[in-house]
Amino acid sequence: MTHNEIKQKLFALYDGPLTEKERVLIEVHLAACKDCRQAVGEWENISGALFTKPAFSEAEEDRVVANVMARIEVPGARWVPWKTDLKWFLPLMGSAVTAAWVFFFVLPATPDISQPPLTMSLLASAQAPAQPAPAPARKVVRAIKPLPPLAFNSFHPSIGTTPVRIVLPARTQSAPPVDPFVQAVVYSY
Amino acid sequence: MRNKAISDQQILELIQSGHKEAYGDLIRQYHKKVMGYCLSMLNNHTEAEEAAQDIFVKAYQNLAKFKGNSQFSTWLYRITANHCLDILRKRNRRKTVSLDALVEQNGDQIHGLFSTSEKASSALENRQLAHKILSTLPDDYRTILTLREAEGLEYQEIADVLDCTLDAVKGRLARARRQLQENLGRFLEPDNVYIRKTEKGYEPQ
Repeated sequence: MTHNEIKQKLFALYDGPLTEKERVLIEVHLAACKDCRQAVGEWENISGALFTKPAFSEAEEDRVVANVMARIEVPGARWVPWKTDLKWFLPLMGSAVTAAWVFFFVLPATPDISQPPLTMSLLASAQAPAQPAPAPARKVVRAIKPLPPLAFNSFHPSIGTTPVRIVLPARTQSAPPVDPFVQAVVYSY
Repeated sequence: MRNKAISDQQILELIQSGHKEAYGDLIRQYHKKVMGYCLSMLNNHTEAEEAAQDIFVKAYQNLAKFKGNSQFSTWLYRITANHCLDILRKRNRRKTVSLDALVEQNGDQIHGLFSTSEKASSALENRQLAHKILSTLPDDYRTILTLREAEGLEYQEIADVLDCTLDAVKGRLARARRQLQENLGRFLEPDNVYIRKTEKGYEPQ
């Protein structure tokens, strides 16, 4: 290893992550090279002056422990993950239970609001004279006639560049009226 | 005092089974490391203590997220480093000390900090001065230097804490050291440098 290569690895020696072979090589070089010894020594001096570990008293430690323990949950409470991670869990479960209760218990027991209350119905039947039973409703059969087939002007030059235009056959005097609902659907199409 | 035979994992299991008082043992175990790191980064004892308390509370609230993929200490260092960086970012918006201003105000003191011939200043003065010197570095350089030099973390542990690769740690650490040496260059004249004799056999200059 050359001097420059070793100089690149000086801090690796200082920090520790070297193989045994590399460590021996660098230590042998350091013993002979004043520049490298000075570089390592300079850094040790800086590190020793700037990165000193302060000492802390037991009282400080006790104070930190007491304050932290007071700030975390109430005494005796169990550690539950959803209070920290799944804060959405309880509101979601509450909403789901409420919705289920309304759907299964409240709605089936609610009377139809389109009908008058029972008391009002009884009063009305007591005051009104008896009426004959209404005749059964006559069933209305309505024939739906099919629309005439639609014709597309597929030879128009604008096909492919403009929206498809639907040409409906002209209605004649003798043509039967078209169902307005079906007509509305066709025109909207 | 905490029984040394109980591992962090066993304490965590105790906490998760409802014995939250066991968290006190965990705080005692890591109080010095967390507090030391906060003090190195913030240089204010009151602020550092408040930060340490916040960090331990935050760690407790996020214990469910700790899956045991890394050591608990690494995970706690990650929370600590991020919390201190947040505080520094807020503080940096207020005021930053330039190197030139520092040289004008504390030039003689800095000279004395690295010189063995002069009368040693008090530890508090030295610490405050050291912090002023470190505050001339970018926050990420300060973080990585504190983790390595003050806390003594290995490269891989630093990579886990900072969530980066091993090569990134090596590169950033080298750049941080170079910049710190450059900042201090004007004070480190050869006659002020004292090379200590260590177990590795380095001789005094």
